[in-house]
Amino acid sequence: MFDSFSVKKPIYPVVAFASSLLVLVFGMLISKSMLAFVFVGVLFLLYSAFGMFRGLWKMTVGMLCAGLLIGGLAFLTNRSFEAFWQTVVRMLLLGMCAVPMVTVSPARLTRCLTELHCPRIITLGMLVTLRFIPVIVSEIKRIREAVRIRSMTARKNRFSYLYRAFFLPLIMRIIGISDTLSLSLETRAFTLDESPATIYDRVRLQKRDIVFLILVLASAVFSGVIVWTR
Amino acid sequence: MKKTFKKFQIKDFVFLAVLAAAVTLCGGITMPLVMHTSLFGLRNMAAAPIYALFTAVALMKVRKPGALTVLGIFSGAPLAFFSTVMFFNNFVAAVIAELLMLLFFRGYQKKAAVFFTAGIYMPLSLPVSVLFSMWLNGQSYSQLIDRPVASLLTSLGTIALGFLGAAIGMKISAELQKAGKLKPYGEEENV
Repeated sequence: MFDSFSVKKPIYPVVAFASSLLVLVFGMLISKSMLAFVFVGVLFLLYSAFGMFRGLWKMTVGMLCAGLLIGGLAFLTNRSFEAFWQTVVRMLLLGMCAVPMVTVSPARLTRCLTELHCPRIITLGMLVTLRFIPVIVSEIKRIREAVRIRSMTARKNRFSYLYRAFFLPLIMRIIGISDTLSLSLETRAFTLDESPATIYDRVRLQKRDIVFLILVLASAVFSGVIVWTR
Repeated sequence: MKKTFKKFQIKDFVFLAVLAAAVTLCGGITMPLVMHTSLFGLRNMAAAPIYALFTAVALMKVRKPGALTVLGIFSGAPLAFFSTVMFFNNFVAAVIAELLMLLFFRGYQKKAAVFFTAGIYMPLSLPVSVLFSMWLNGQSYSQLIDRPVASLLTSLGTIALGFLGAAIGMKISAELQKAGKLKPYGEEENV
């Protein structure tokens, strides 16, 4: 999804989605036990073995910081160490379930969905939404730059500033971008019907994807069994 | 007799998808602040004005039943990367909001229908949030029972901020329509 999380050999998108779902469900079911940290550790090793270390450590560090901060606040308000570590482990698990999906590029995901005969509307919409998040970020930066150039910083706290100088230009840019994009799609004969289309660079399910899914499932079930039988 | 359901075109989907990117981004800014709060409804309250604002703009341009559902699917798609339940939260709330709109207004011809649908979109995600929180940490329902006044206030705040956001979105849309920048897709005579 994001360039900083990209990997050389990404997991098959459907497998990535299934493994994310598995980690989310099992993780949340066992998150009240200290053994959830072991589950996080096992997943960390597993993801690293499948070449996701680059994105994994970034996600883990980010989620750990957020978990410590929010867990710290929970500790201060509830005076409960249990609330603290449960928040930390939940944040880590949320990060873990996101990792396989964020390593999948939007183009690869779209190709996979197209091969699976997913409606073109869905694939187009998902691709546009995921691809245009960085574009919108850059547009917001430009609008803020424009505001700074016009030295409107003194009025920053006023609501009218947000309305007139931020939301109006942002929505005008969104309209402009979508008009140009839809025009370029129509001129390239893009249709929403089920007319045949060529898929450039097919995405295929490989043995390593199946092995990955089995290992995630095994670790999730094993962790669950240990927690419930204790 | 006017047709209630109108066919979607590529430009409708593209506009909704680009707007969904903006919704996800702007809505995501508020999430780290309230992500792990124990107070029921605070997450929805923080997201309500932003979601309602963009939803109002989206529905003012694409005045076709189903537009909010499409926006819900597209804005939920990036959330599905982090949590599948968050996607369903968005999607289910959008479907219910549109069903209510169809029940009361039978389409987006009237501006009141747009205002109503944009305003109730986020408040409708509250019941889904209860289920989500119960599943996630098994606390939310008990919290709702334990602190009913605070939960009621956050729920009312979500409704108020939702309609405030919708009102601002309507105002922005009216200004852009006046300037000729926002042409509604659903109304052929105005295109």
